[in-house]
Amino acid sequence: MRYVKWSLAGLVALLLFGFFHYTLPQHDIVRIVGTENRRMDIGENSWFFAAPDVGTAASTSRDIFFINAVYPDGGTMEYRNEDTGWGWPPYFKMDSFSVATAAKELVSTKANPVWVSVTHYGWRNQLFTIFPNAVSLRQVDGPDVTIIPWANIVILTVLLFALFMIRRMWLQFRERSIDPAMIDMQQSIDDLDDRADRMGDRARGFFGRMFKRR
Amino acid sequence: MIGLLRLAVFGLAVLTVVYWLALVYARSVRRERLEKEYDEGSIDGDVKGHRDDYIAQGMADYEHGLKRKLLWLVYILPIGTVLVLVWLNFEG
Repeated sequence: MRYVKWSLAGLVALLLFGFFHYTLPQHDIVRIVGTENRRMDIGENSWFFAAPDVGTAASTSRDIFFINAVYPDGGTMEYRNEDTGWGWPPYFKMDSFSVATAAKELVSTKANPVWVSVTHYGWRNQLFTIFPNAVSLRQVDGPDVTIIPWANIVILTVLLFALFMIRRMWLQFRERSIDPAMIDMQQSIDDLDDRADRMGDRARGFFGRMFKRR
Repeated sequence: MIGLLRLAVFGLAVLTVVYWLALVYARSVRRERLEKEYDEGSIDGDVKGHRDDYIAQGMADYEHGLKRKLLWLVYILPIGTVLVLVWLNFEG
């Protein structure tokens, strides 16, 4: 039983971590080498693509902006650049065309690199052809700048506060509503028990009188 | 714009539930504090009336106080955050 419990707890923890790792913003410092715009027929990987651009019709086949980038160590990365619109995750990104323009502006060569901090969410996976979604681009001084993840700090603090408040509310509810109700119920069970005992005594008295037994 | 409508409807529904929970919790905490204040007997002799009257008066004061109005932040903060995010997106 203990193994089952710990496996379940581990699974939940893994799912939660995965959810936050996918959804919360991260910053990559990269050099943008090019942009493209290609048609994608989105199939079973549709979970990992956002909605069509705000105001355009829903379809499983659409043009998506891509940003091709190279890490300082030479590793490659490809970002998609899609509106999230009013949907999930709540980035309210509606400026994918502006981001595409900014990406074109920031394209640089290996000889004369321009380093860009790409704020993105999501994962890159070659096996399922999924891409992180670039939310915004910002030019930075070099590949080694430190970026403080303020958004993550604020979001996680708010979530922890919400958890704390839910616990406080639950404890308050139990103290003020459930416990008194339980005491009441206990009281009525006791009363019932007393009454049953009294009935029993009376019955014994009756039978005692009937059969003259003491 | 159907997306905006959907977000508004679901968002307001969720915020209403959160607001209601916060309101019930805040009232419960306030009532408990009033009860404890009264039971400790730390209230001045003059105002000390019946226990229920004291609590009813305290709750009425709370309903008109600043702390009660601060609960509207449950609506204001998330909606404000969304507006700021949308605005920042159009700026950038």
